[in-house]
Amino acid sequence: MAAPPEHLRTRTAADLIRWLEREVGPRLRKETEAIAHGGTALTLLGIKDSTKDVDLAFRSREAFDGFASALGSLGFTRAADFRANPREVFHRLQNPASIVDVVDLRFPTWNNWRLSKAVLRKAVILPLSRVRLVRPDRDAVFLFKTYPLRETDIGDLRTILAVDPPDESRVLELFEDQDAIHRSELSVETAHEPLFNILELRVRFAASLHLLGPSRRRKIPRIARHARQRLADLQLRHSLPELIRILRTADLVSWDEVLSGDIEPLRARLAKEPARRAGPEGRQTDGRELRRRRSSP
Amino acid sequence: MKHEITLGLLSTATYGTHTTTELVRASGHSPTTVVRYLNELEDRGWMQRLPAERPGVGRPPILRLPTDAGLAYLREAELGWFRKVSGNGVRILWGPVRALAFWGVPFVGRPDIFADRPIEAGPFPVVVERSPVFYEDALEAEDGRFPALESLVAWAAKSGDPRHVGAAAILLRDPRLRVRRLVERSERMRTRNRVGFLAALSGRSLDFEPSPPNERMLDTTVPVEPETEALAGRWRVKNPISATLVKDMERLYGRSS
Repeated sequence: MAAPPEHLRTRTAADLIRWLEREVGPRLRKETEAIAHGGTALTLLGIKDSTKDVDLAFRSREAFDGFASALGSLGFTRAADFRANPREVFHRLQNPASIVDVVDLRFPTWNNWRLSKAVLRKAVILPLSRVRLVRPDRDAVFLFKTYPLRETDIGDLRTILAVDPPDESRVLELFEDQDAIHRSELSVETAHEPLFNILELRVRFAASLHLLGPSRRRKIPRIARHARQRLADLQLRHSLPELIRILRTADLVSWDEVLSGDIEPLRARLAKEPARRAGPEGRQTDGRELRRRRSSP
Repeated sequence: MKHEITLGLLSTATYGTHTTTELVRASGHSPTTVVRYLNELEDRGWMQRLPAERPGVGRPPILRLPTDAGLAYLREAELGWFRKVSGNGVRILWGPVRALAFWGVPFVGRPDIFADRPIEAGPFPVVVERSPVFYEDALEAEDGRFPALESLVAWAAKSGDPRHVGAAAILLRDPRLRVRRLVERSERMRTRNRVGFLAALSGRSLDFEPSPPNERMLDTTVPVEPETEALAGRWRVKNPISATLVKDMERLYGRSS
């Protein structure tokens, strides 16, 4: 048996920290916030190993461009964009010679997740030279993982449940925060369609909970119930398994087709919904709270 | 200082970023013990503090990170532990994280080990693989023993972990792979249909046919593309991995061929 040509060392969270502090940080012109996402966040939390790509999100275009430019000066080159999302800038940068060799950067959202004050409230910020690396908390990462519906993400949700189960109240609070942000945009002019964001959020949340299976759902009964209820509130014609099949197999979901003409009534209903809905903690969501949420970045 | 506690703390701090409170929780030791060990590790120059911040209210947390010297010590100590657990008549090889990195599909995470029975392995999570054939033709490297490529592919195909299954699909295109040995391993490790399905999915011809009984690939039923579903049906594989995930991993790791 021929031995491998080179020994590839396992990478660690410590490698990522050193790389950011010693290589990326000094090449940034100013302090730059980078928010760890996906498997990177799970690795930093010590919950699970992940694939080799480092996932980082940015809240400002300036931070995104500055970080990409710093990577450029380190010899990273841009790979082709392959996940088209008109509302999200996504660059994959690669440098095979670097200890961290694949970096995914997104702006201003990550899979439509808004990096609101509520999301970042329990995060920890690591000052690493000029990089301010934000490590979100487990509950935020759990919610983020309900979006993609890939086999790996369902596996990650199962691992979180097994290793360090989420705080149900906080996950629901974060879900409602995201839902409220999208609903607050229904009545204002936006470049994107907020209704589709609400559909993506609620359907994917319910779908992930469904794919976890009954024994896992029993560990988080409030989240499972809430996900079912929020989906039911949409009164869609398709069953959840049908929607899962559409979301899992289509590159870009055509919500127009899914809704088949029901867009305006649904929009009107959802736009009215916030003032009447009970929040996840059982309290009424009042107008003041909504204004506060809307003013969050 | 007890070696196990020292190693455990260094290991947790290396394979994650933890505050003092989180280290206490992860270690299972009392706060007094953990803080005493952390201070001692700091005195030895193996760990350092990083004052962090929180966007919300509350005291700023202190992160405990390994220094370069601490990392070097950990790597030596891990190797020592690996040799120690290998010497008790148990079949031991480096586990999926290091073995997949060794063969070209690196992951970010804590190293683990394969063992043919449940054992106490210090800082390493143990992946039990009882089949003796898995340990045949292992590769002896400077830093321990690694499974043969064919054994690793056959194991990964039945691991139930979608990332490892995806890694198997990538490794199936590796030109170093010995097809006859893979077929033999797959038969003896009862993962023939899963390997055949993955090979078909990644475009590698293995020249063997599906056979009963059915095999389950993932623990969860996740809908896949109609063509993949049909292919899995032909190979008698239940709960298959999707072609989309394999393509995603190929984009990330590149094809081995």
